[in-house]
Amino acid sequence: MKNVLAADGIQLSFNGRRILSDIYIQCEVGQVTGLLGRNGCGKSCLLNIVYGSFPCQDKSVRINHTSFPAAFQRPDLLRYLPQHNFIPKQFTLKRVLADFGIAPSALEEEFPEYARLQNTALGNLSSGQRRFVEVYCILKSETRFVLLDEPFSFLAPIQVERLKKVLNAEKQHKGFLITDHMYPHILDVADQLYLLKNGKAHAVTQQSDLEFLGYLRPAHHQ
Amino acid sequence: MTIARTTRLILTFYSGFAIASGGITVAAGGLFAAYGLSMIAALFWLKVITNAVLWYFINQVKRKEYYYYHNLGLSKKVLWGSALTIDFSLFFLTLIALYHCL
Repeated sequence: MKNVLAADGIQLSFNGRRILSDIYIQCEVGQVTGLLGRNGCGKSCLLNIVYGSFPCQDKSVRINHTSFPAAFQRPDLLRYLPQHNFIPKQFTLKRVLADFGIAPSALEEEFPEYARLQNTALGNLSSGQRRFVEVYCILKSETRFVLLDEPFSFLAPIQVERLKKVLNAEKQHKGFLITDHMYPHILDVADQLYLLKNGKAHAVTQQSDLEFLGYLRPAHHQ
Repeated sequence: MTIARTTRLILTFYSGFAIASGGITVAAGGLFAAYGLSMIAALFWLKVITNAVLWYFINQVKRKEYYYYHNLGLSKKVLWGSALTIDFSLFFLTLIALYHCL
């Protein structure tokens, strides 16, 4: 049986302005689903609604046909990386790894430079290192689906490439829904792609679709 | 998630405002020692109101950290329910201990 996270019927308005309108989106274990869109188009709201942490009356979020209106209460099924720092800065790296059930040796084997930082509080790491740890913990911890809101922002290109390797390894047994403004990385890792525009989720199959929908400038204009 | 990990997370969350809340409890204990049982209702409402202020303050300052606890299976309701249970237990235990000592 396929493991599928599906969300549909999502409607969201602010002050009479329609942000999301009858959205349908799904992702499967073994796949990375990319979500693109301009600033303010509702990408983060959509992820929060799927996660259940943002109140929304009109929505249906299901995992394998079972409804989960407050999926955030089930970290064994769904975890979420918000676009901002979310780990308390006084926590040490060792503590955070323990909370997420990740062996320190797993991080040290893949990223030896973090071995000497085990007892360092996250607030004492650089902003890039701190973000890297947050993304890594969400990617590696045990769950079935992962929502990633701007995982590559604030990271050096080499760190992004290393995290993309982790992502590709983890997708063997997880499904990812990912959004980021660094769209080349999204195009690189995504197996399927949606573009949010005018409150609708448009399925995208090729780069020319992004140009047609006005997300990218047409190639012959560049 | 293990009980030990859940307990540690709740205590960590509580520690974020335990000093302020503990200070209120100590102050309430001082007033109770000075004025006795006649103050009990006022002290109770003092504790309720100051905890409401702390709740508002924490929600403003640390709202982004809720995602950490959510990702570990702890909702806001569980965090605040547990933390306030601990806090009010300490408050009443302090007053009961003072009542028996004085």
